[in-house]
Amino acid sequence: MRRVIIATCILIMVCLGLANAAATPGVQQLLPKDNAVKGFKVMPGSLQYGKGEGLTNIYDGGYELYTKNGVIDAARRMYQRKSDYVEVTVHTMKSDKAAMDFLKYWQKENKVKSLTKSKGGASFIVTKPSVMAYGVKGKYFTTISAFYLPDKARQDVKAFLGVVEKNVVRK
Amino acid sequence: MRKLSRREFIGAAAGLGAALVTGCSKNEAGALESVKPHTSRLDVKNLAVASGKDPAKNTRAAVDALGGMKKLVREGDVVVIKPNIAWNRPPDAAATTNPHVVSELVKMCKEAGASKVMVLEHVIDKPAEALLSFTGIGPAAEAAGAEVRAAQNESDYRTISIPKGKLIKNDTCIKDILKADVFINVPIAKSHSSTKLTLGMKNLMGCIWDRQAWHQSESLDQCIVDYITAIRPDLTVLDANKILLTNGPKGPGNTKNVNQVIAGADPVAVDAYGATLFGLKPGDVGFIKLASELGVGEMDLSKISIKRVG
Repeated sequence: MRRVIIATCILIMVCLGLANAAATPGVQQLLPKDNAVKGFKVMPGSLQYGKGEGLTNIYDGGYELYTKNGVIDAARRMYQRKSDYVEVTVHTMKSDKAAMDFLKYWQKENKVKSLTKSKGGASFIVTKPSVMAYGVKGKYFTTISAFYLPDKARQDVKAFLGVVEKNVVRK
Repeated sequence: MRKLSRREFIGAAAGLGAALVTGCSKNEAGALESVKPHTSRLDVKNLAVASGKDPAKNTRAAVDALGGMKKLVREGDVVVIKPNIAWNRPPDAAATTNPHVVSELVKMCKEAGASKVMVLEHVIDKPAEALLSFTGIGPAAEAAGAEVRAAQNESDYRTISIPKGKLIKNDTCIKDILKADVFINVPIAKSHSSTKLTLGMKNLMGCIWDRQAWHQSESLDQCIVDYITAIRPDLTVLDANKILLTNGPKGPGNTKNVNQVIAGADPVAVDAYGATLFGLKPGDVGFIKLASELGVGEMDLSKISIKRVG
């Protein structure tokens, strides 16, 4: 009898866990966790999510650009390492092509000559006006901003982009 | 019993009158409040443009050129300052108002005898409290003697009627703005993907609870103009020390050091001047043109007395 009760409890806990994971938007699950990049912790209360017109929660006046280019939803979180801040935003695009087209849009905006290609994706990093990484993996488009010394920030945004890409592959 | 502010008194009287005639509807933010827009103590025909490399000095010089803060703020007044603190961007990104501009205004209000100065914003990025610090505005304004707060709860807002609005007939406003004796709008001049630019009038979008409704309306420009017919700042101080030229409103984008602060009681005139900093004519910007057409203010800068200082 005792075993049955324990098994039932475990089953309930598993179900609750699955339900919770299912309720969390997929794009949100792609955001890096604490220390995914060494030393960076999730800034409490920084999570933002928006879908469709709800992207105003993230972009306010800029959101129309994103919906026009095929963004379905997006999740954003801030990370902190002492006085260094990094902002990661992952967007679900309507297709792989839309994701790549949007990356190319930003490539053109930033006047970047070439993309760094990877399996199922591409990316580039700019250091002016501030350090920012743009990347695509499948149908996910990611932007990562950092606001501190460019050399250090460049390495960090690259590392964050790598974590998101791994999360996409795992998904 | 606390003394009613000028805005509260007029609003209450107008609200009572409106209630007697039409009755008042209520919604989630409470009773619908009629607000008579402030009539600034400053001359709306004057615009001040202060130039120099020090944002704080520019701010003081611009306000002084309009007659000084004492002309606007009286002993014991409660003042609300509304900068742009929407984004988690450091000051040099030019996506938020320069902290030195805000802190100088706080100091000037205090010097003029303000009993309380509040710096308020409906912050977009999260966490709001951290942003106040990250943008530099929180610490700078607090050090100058202000109370700094992000209005992140619906209970911070009150519903107001906008009788002159074409598209919106009611909306919300941060309660403390409605209660204040003096309301100072302190935007930063920057590009904006939806409205070309964001200047003074657009900055008032940070006074409302539901931004999304404006974005989903048939004209964001018209919503901006409708709103200022009800919530009109006594003074607009446009931070153009460093402006964001591309990828606004949040950036990061290309910036330019303009080294100017523009101040005026006519929000349309301030924005009209602001548009020229981007190489645009005032009429090229939708909300400026609509505001001029609605008689909110003057966009023809030849009809404005521009005092250049610094």
